[in-house]
Order: sequence, then C-alpha cells, then structure tokens
Amino acid sequence: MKKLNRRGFLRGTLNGLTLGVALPVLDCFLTDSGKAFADTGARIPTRFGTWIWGCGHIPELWIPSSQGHNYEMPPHLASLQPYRHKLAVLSGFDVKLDGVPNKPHVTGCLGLRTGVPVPNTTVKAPTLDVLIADVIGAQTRFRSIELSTSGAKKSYSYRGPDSPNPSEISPMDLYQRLFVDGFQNPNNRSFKPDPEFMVQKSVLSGVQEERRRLLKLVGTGDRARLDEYFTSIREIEQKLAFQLEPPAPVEGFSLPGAPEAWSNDPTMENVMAKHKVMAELLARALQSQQTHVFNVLLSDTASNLRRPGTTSTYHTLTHEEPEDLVLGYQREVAWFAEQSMFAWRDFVAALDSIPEGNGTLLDNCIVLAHSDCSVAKSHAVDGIPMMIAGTGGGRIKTGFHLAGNADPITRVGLTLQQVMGVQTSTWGTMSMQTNRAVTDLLV
Amino acid sequence: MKANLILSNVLLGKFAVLTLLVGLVAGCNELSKDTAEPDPVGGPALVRVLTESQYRATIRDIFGEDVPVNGRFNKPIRSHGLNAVGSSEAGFSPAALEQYVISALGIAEHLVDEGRFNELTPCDLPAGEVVNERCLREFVSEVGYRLFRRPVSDEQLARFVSQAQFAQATLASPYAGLRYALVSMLTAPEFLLRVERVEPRSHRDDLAELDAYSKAERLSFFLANTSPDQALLEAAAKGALDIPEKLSQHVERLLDAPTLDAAVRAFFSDMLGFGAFDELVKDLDLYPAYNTTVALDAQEQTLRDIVRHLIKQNGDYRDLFTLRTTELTRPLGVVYRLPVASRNGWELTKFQEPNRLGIQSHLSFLALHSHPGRSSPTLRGASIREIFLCQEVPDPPADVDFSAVQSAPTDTIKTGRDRLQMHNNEPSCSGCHKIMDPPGLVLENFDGIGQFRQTESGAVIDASGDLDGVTYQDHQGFAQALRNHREAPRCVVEKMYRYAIGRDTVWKERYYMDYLIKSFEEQGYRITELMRSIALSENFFSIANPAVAEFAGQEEESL
Amino acid sequence: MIPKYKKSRPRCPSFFGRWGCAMLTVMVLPNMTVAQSVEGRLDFVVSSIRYALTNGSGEAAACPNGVSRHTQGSANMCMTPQRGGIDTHMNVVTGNIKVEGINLDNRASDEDFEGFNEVQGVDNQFYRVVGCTPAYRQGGQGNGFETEMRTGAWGLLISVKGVDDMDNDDHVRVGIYANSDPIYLSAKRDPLPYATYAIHQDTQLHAETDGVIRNGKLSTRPIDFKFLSTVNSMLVHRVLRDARLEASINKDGTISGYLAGYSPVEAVYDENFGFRNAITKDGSLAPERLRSRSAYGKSLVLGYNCEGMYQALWNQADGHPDDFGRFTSISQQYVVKGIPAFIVNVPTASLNEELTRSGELK
Repeated sequence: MKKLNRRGFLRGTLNGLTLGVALPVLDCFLTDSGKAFADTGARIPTRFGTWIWGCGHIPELWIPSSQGHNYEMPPHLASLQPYRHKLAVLSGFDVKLDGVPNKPHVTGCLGLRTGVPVPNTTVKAPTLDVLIADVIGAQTRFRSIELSTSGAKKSYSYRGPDSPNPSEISPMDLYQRLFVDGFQNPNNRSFKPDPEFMVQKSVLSGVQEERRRLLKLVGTGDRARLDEYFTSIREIEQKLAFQLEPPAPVEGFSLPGAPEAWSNDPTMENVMAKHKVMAELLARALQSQQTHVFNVLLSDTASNLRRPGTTSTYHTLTHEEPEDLVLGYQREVAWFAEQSMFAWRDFVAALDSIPEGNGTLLDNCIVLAHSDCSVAKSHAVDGIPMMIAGTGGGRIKTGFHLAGNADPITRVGLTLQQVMGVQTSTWGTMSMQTNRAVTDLLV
Repeated sequence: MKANLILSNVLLGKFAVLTLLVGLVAGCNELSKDTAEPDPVGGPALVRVLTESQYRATIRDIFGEDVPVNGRFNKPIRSHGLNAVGSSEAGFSPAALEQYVISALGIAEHLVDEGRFNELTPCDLPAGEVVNERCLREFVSEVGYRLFRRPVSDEQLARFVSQAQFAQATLASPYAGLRYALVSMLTAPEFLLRVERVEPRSHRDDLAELDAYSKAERLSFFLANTSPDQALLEAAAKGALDIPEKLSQHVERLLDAPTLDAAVRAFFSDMLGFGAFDELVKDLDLYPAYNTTVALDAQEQTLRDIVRHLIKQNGDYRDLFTLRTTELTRPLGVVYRLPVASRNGWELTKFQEPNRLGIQSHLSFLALHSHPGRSSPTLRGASIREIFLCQEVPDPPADVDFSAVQSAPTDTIKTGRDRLQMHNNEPSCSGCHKIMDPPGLVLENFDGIGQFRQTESGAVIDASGDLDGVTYQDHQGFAQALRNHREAPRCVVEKMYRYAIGRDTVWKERYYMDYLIKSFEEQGYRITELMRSIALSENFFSIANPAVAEFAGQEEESL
Repeated sequence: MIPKYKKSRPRCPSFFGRWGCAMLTVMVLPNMTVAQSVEGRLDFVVSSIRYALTNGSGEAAACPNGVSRHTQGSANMCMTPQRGGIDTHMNVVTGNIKVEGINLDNRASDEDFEGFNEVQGVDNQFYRVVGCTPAYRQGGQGNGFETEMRTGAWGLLISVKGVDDMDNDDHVRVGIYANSDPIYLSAKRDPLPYATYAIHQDTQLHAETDGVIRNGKLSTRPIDFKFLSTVNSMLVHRVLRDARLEASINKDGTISGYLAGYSPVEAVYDENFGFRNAITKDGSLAPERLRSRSAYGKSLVLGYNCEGMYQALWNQADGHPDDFGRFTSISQQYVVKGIPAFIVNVPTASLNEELTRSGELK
C-alpha cells in the first residue's frame, strides 16, 4: 500500500498517465441566476461578451469626478444615464508594460484581454472571452460570435498567437450565419440535467448526517454556529436543485427579418447605423441562445472611423489635431469619442429592449466594454477606460464608478472569469499578475 | 485580564506599583514554587474555524505546492485583539460556505487534471477502470485522516464511500468517485471546523483535558500554523502526547521545523492587525507614494524583520522596538527614502534617519493607524497601548466634537499636538487623551503613510513626552522606553497564550500568566522559549470541567 | 539632393561660455524636502524631457512661407529619403522668433536664434527644421516621445558626484546614463522621487564628464553620448555629440535645464523620421515592414514627408564639418527635468529581468 507522501505529489504523474478528463462546469451554479430563479422560478443562462471601441477617451469628459453610486454622469457618458444602475464605470486601471515595447493600439488591448503585454499580436495566453467561453460556451451552437462594425475584418478574441477568431463584418452574413444556416429553435431542445450537479447535490445533502452527532459534541453557543453551517449547506443544495430543473423556455422570441446590404464605408454615420442593426441581430441570437459569448468591435483600435468629406480618420486625428487651447483637449477627437459612447448606448439598449425572465436580456448578460488605450495621441495604456453592463443574473454588482488608482487592469479580467465560473485564483504575468478580485463588483 | 483597563496616568501609575508589590509578596510566599507551573485552570473546549492561512497550508501540505485555492475567504472576526480568538466565534454564511465549495471543486479538479489521484490513492489504480470499493475506502481513510486530523469514523467512511460510488455510477469518468469523495471531505464540518473533544482527567474531577487528537491539533496549529502531520497524528493515536518526554520530542521537532516561521508570522500578523490593510485607504493626492504594492510590502517587511530577529537570530523580543536593520523592496525604498539595489525582491539594509527604529516606526504600523489624509496621534497612541502593552483604551464619548481636530491649519493650530490641545481643555476627553496621545505624538515625525518629516504646516514638530513615567525627547528615546516598559513582555505573553488557545484568558489564569512571564524573562525574552513553555504546560491542554467550572452556564441541553 | 555648403565655424562649442541661460519653471513636488547631498552625491531620474522649441507665441511669423504638409498619396520614401525629389511641401523656420535653448558654440551667428531671458545665439537648427510642421508647434503631437519614457520603455539618469557645495563647486563629476528600470510612478501617473534605478549595462549608453556649479547652476564639459527611446514598439538611438548639460539645481530637490548638443544628420533623421536602423528589444534590426510603415505612418499623421525632413536636416546642419566643409550634424536641444532618485549599478541582462513580483501575500 502506498503511503500518502507529499514528495510523491510533487514528483508529478507517477505512472506517466495524464488523464484529459473533460470536466463540465463545476461551480458556476453557485451564483447562476439565483435572482432570476427567485423571481420567476425559471433558470436563465448568463451570457458574457466584450465590446471594444478604439482610441480611448477624453479623460476630462469621460471619468466621473467622484466614486461610488452617486457620481455625476460625465458629459461623454450622459447618454447612458437611463442605464446607469445597470452599468459599472471603471477608470484608472493600468496595463503594466514591465518594459515590453508598446505597440500602439495592440499592446494595451491584448494586455487587458490576456493579462500579458505583447509587442504585437503574438498573444501569450488566450483572451478572457475564450477562457470564459470554454466554461459557458460549450452547450450552445456557437462557442462565441465575433463581429466588427466598421468594415475592418479584425477581432481581438484569440485562442492562440496570431490567430484571431474572425469577425463578421456584414449584417447580411451575420444574419445568414445566425438565423438561416442551422438555426436551432431554443424551445425544441431537450433538457438533460447535468449529472455533475446531481452528484454535487448528493454530496452536500449527505453532510446533514453529521449534524446530530456534531451538535452533541459542543456547547450551546457553538451549537448555533454549527447550525448556521448546516443551514448554509441546505441553501447551497437548493441552488443546485435549481440547476437540475429545465431551463426557462425562451419567451417572446421571433425571428428577425433579413437586413439589407450595407457598405463598408467607415464614416461614423454609416458605422453607427450598421452597428445598431448588428447589435439587434446579436441580441436576438443571445435571446434564442444560439451563443452565450460574443465579442463586438465597434471600431478598430487604430480606428479607421472618419467623417464624411474629410481625409483624416479618427486615428490620424488623435495624432495630428492640436489641442484646443481653451477646451484643453482635441475637439474633433472628442467628437469621435462621444459618438463611440452613443454606439455603446445603442448596444446596451439593444440588449435591454428584450424582456427576459423578470427583467431584460441585459440583466442576464455581463458585457465588458473597453478601449485599447486611455489617451490615443500618446498611446498611453495606463487608465484604459472600461465599463461593465449587466449583472449576469445577479452574479455581480453594478451602478457605480470605481477608480482603479493604477492597480493592474487584470483585476477586472480575473473577477469576471471567477464570476463566470473559470477556476482560477490568479491571472496575468509580471506586474499584472494578480490574485485580487475587484470586491466592489462582487455580490 | 480586564484589570488592564486604564483610565488615567495616575491610575496607571498606582496599578503598576500595586502589581509590583503583589508580585513581590507572592514571590516571598511561594518561593519554592516560583519556577513550577501553577495548577492548570482551563477554559471551555472550542469550535474554531480554520483561518485562511491554515486552510492554505493544510491543502499545500497534503496535496502539494501548486494546488490552487480559488475561493475567496471571508473577512475574519476580531475579538480581544486577535482574529485567533474571533475564530472561536465565527460562523459560516451561505456566501462564505459557497467559497469553500468552489475551492473544494477546484482542488479536486486540479488533482484529476494533473493525474495526481494515482499518487493520492493507496491502492494501484488500473487506468480507465472504475475504482473499486476497497480502494475508495482506503483513499477516504487516508486522506480523511489528514483532513479531519483524526481517524474517519465508520459512519463517515460509509457515507463518503457511498457518495463516491453514487458519483461513479452517475458520471462515467474513472476518477469521479475519488473526486467527489474528496469534495465531500473538503466541505465537511470536521475539516473546516476544529471541534475540540474533551476527555476526563484521571486524578482531577474539576478539570478535563483535550483528547489526544485535539491536543495534536492545538499543538500543530500553534507551532506550525498547519494541520498535524502524519507523525503527530501517529503520536496521538499511540497516546504518546500524554507522556511528557514524548510530547517534548514533538514540541522540539515542531520548533525546529521550517514551519515555525509560518507560525510566528501568523501570530504577529494577527497581533499587529494586518487584516485591516485590506480596507485601508489613503488620499492619493496627499500620499502619491502609497499604493497596493507598498501596502503589501510593508506588512511583509515587518514580518520579515520579526522572523529574522526572533527566529533566525534568536533575539530578545523587546529589541523589536529598537531594531534598525530591516529589509526593503524598491517600492518601500521610495517611502523610506533609501536606495534598494535589488530590482525585485528584498534587500537587507539599515534605517539612516536616527528616529527611525523599531517596528512601531514601520509603515505597517504608521500607515495602518492613521487617517486617509493625515497621521493620527490618537489612533497611533491607542494602538501602541493596545497592541504592544495590552492596555485597553475606552471608546471616545458619543458626543465628542471633532471639528477642531479636523480643521485646516491656522496660524496657531499647525501640528497634531496643537489640534489635540483642544481636547485637553475638555474634561470628558482629557482623561483618555492624556493616555493615548504621548505615544502617538512621538510618532508625529512620520506622516499619514509613515514618511519622515521635521515639520507640519511649517511648524517644527515637538515629539517629546513621557511614557508611563519615562520621559523622552524624540522617538529614539521613546523606542527605548517602550522596549523597557514592563508591560511589553507581559503583553506579548498574554497575546501569545490567547492566540494559542483561541480564547481570552480568565481571571483564575493570572498565576499561570505570571509564571509564563517570569519564564519569558528568565529566558531572555526569546519568543521560541515562550512558545515552548506554553506548548509544554499543563494549562495548554486543560479544559474546565463544565460541571464545576465557571463555564457551567454552557452545559449541554438534551438534543 | 546635394546639401549646400556653409561658412565654416568652430567645430566644438566652447566650455564655460555664458552663465545666464534661461531660467526654467521650478517644479514643486508635494512632500519633497530640500535637496540633500548624500556623501556629496546628487542622483536624479529624468522625469520630463522634450525638444526645446518655442513657447508658442509668434509661431505664425516664424513661417512666412507657410507650414509643411504631407503630400497626400505620395510614395513612401522614408527608407530611402536621399532618392526623393525636392519636397515642395516642406517649409523651415525663416522668420524671427524666440526659441528655447542655450548657446552651444558661444557665438551669435546669423542662423542662431534669440532665446528667452535675454540669451543670445541659441543654436537650435533642429527647431528650424521642424518648426513649420504643425505637429511640432504648440499643442502638436511631435514632441510626445516622452510618453514612452513614462510607460517605462526607456529612461535617463543623471548623477552628480563630488558635490561639496550645492551652490558653488569648481569641480563635480556628472554622469548621464540610460536607465534600465521603468520610471516609478504614483497612482496618478506622476513620477515619484527617491526611487532606485539601475544604470543600463550597455556602456555605450553611459557618459561621464566634469562640470562646475555656479550660483546653483550646473554646467558640464562637452561630451558625446547616446540614449534609447522607443517608437511603435521599436528602439531608436538618440545621439548627441559635444553635448552639454546646463541645469539649475533647485531648492525643491529637482534639477531643470537643457541637454543640448549636435546630432549627426543621419542619426537625427533615424531617431525621428526614418527609423531605418530601429531595433527590436533583442537588439536585432526590426522588420523592414514595421520600420517603413511606422516611418511613413508618422509622416502621414504628423504632416510632413520623410524626404522633405531629410533634405531640411542636411540644409540646416550646423556642426561637425567634414573635410569638404560640409556640416554633418545639427544642433538639437532637449528641455529636461529631473527628480531625486537613487542610482545603482547592478548587473542585469534585460529590462524585464526579474521584474516578476511575488509581493502578494497569502
């Protein structure tokens, strides 16, 4: 008989046998739509997505002047006022370069998404959407859906180096892919409870057998503490029981109509309108559970957006437009920055307009919106603006502004992975390595 | 020991004299007994929650260094100045317990992913085959023995094995049974809680004592901050811990083990209240050098100095208050204004500023006991008294007017001393402030995060004062006074004992405290000697017999 | 394009010429005490650096021929600027305007500028070249190379040793070194004083020279040195010959002044516009595509043509004449500020070595 031996554990695999057992989601049950269940008795999946806009923000117009719930909506976020309680505004979190050369518009974006700064698109780790899709994306038709609305066939969703998950750039192609080829009616799917949850429930209910025996061992005061333990176990069991119920039927879903053809013209006006159409298609796809994970690129990080009749793109403007000496920032650049927030408002509205359970589709999503840099003219990657919309069915808290005070931006990615059920206690490398979740987001 | 509550300097002085006299008289009367341990007193058996560091250390010891612990632990409860005492009061909310479930699932999953179950299982696992019942039983017995710190009972064994078999039947994966047997054990109350068991003592009916496994548990968490190892459990099984020579061998073994550092760190991190760093906020306009790295490194700096001085160099505990050697990282160097050549990591160096000496002049003390935007002589003074001298300072009166203390500098009110002067004209304030302020005002040469300064608002800072009768001109003098304060060693002895047993001391234990303090003094204030004295004392394992002791109120009701 | 000849002038600027150079804004940092000379040594990390240009007033008068601009749809000549035709969209400063900087050659020549605070004979031909390109005018982006210093990609250290008297000292030893550590910033992104930095292990990026302190102003003997900066993830060398540091040692512990010298024309073209010899982090030549596109992209967004800059640099060159009297370098001045630091010399193979932290406590 082999003895338990710590050195043995450290030696690694004893017989050279490594089992690649595919494990289903083990722990996302714990916070999964508990609220939705309480309200409606139905189980609704949590969706996760990212929404990227290029060229950062104008800090004085974007960062709220105070933290917490009662912050005053800054000018560039004013249009999001109706959604402020569903939104967390995160400022001042840094991509730490540790001396890695900053490839403008790439290093910041991928550093935020992979936890590792890279001087090119040779990512050294998967992006966080891929890590989350590995946990929640397996049961749906598409592991994830990527789309780009400015005509640039780009994506910042990477599983491995230099091979992004390609984006749809045409609303027609997106429609074809989602709702024509192989579309699945979500209500025709059969439900089989996940046996892992059955086992977990049985494990926890077995603990109650200890109750009587343990209570006998302790005094009155400690008895109350032990009782709290057993009551808490019961509560977790109930959450598991909920996972064994069939998911809520999708209600009120109707197939969207086919969109018209759109040009790839990167004028802001065209992109805004196209983005709205694509956002609505995506929302329908999320509602009908064709996918649970998505990545939207409003404009490429070195943004090709432009205004009709002008030669300069948004990106070149960030470098060539002088600062307005009175305003203290670049006037034209600010226009694009604000338009980008209007587009974000449109996206949030598209998700929020679809009722689901006792709330909306947005309530059951967690969408991380972020840019690639903080101030585009200098390509700074400290203080990259971010927002989170939706609570994922009560997995996180929203409604506040939090200043990161130069903490590594990976704290946000770590938190989102953890609440979405990715088993990880640390994320990122070097100065961006962190084991500290953003507690303000946690329920 | 509520007797240490002090209300004024005068009272303090009297108290000190009185204690001194009592000590002398007692010394004369009990001359023959002064080196012997007084009769054990004992308190109640406790139910203690494993602390985060104990949980992590246990998982590491049993399953290996790289096993992830993914749960987020609840904020510990602090009681009588120690989280260790709070651990006997904490419970498990559903949210807190969920984190342990997450952690358990993650650990089990990791062990499968890494193919580790083969090593964890006493029997040979044929690849891909369902694990048989004999093998499951052996696995549960062995791993459960370590996790529960005592043998798995027959009922438990049957339960875990049947759960494993259910998992195997339900899930078609070869390791499902082992995986869920492990999850069951890692979420069991016997693992997460230290439920102390009692057995009667043969020659005394007013006293009981811990059973052998609870003894092993107390010893191990006290001296190693982790679960008992195989050797200690075996000793418990054989009854060896009831035999003084054998017990002594195990105590010596633990005191020589590398885990002693972790135990000493855990104690001082608890005593110094480092848990409060999680919620510490500083105004970044006023203190641009403060950030989370500085906050983490500051705690580590103090713990490193403590371990280096007390363990590696076997130094006098009291010298912690005058220590000039320290270890720094570059972020700390910015705040201390010292060069740190090592790019990443720790560098042994020495404070240059004459008034920077002792752990009370570390950022970990100065920043923690300050306001977000300014230093606080009151918070610092009260903390010096409570943390290092075990003198309780009452809460401020409810109707106190803080406006003067918080106002912006004026022509006449510039320094912290000027602001506090306001209180001294207020009889309801002055009593306590006369106690709290002097040890805080001497630290006014350090700003709200601990950076050295000569002046505040343009006025030169007056750091002079007196500590319970010893006058000083500056922090150098104060550090000496604190080092030589008779309550300083007494305090660490009391806290160490409370920490070890998980509860406050009771009145009847005062003779035992005197005994520990005396031995501590005779042994040159060596912390490992103190730990040895506690671990080898009869008091350490004694439990008051609920039927006769003052804890009679807690006797069991019928279930 | 053949650069035209100019009247020959002394090659080396004279030392200890004038004392009255421009007074610079004193930077006040919170919580900073008066500078202290520890063992006669003052260490600084450069916290701010930019080209000496103008203060913005009268910029219009500086360019009577109009501003430079990029020729839309023009060919990318950045790798081979010498092959480009004469750039008619390039304009240089010809008008009268006050310019930042010091008098490098202790003369007041025709092409010298009037400086601020009554300094005469400011040698700053680099300004003459870029001064009519909008991106290098006030509020423009041409002067933003400091950003990457703030992100920690490169840095400069200044040490002053042998200081007996911080106001007047006849002999001090001044070192200028490339920094191998990222600059240490506060949460609000301000460089923090009293951080420790290691000098770069490449001795080519070290320079040491003698200096004097007069009335609180440090002045060094001329010295050749080079340092690194980054552009679009590549490293470029910045080269100065016969350079001098003239800076005030301020009472708040900071240092502020000019770092000025003559940059070889081909080098100054590469550091700013062409990137022909830009390298990657491991020291190898960066991919041609990256160099070429970065250079052309910069010309596009900052509004000039590579060949135009190249031609103007040769035309305005004013230092180090070759055997035929042709000037091969151009006066270039940086405005620098430094904050107190500790400078150490510890072996390190790379910027990233051992930067991994394990500081998060369990």
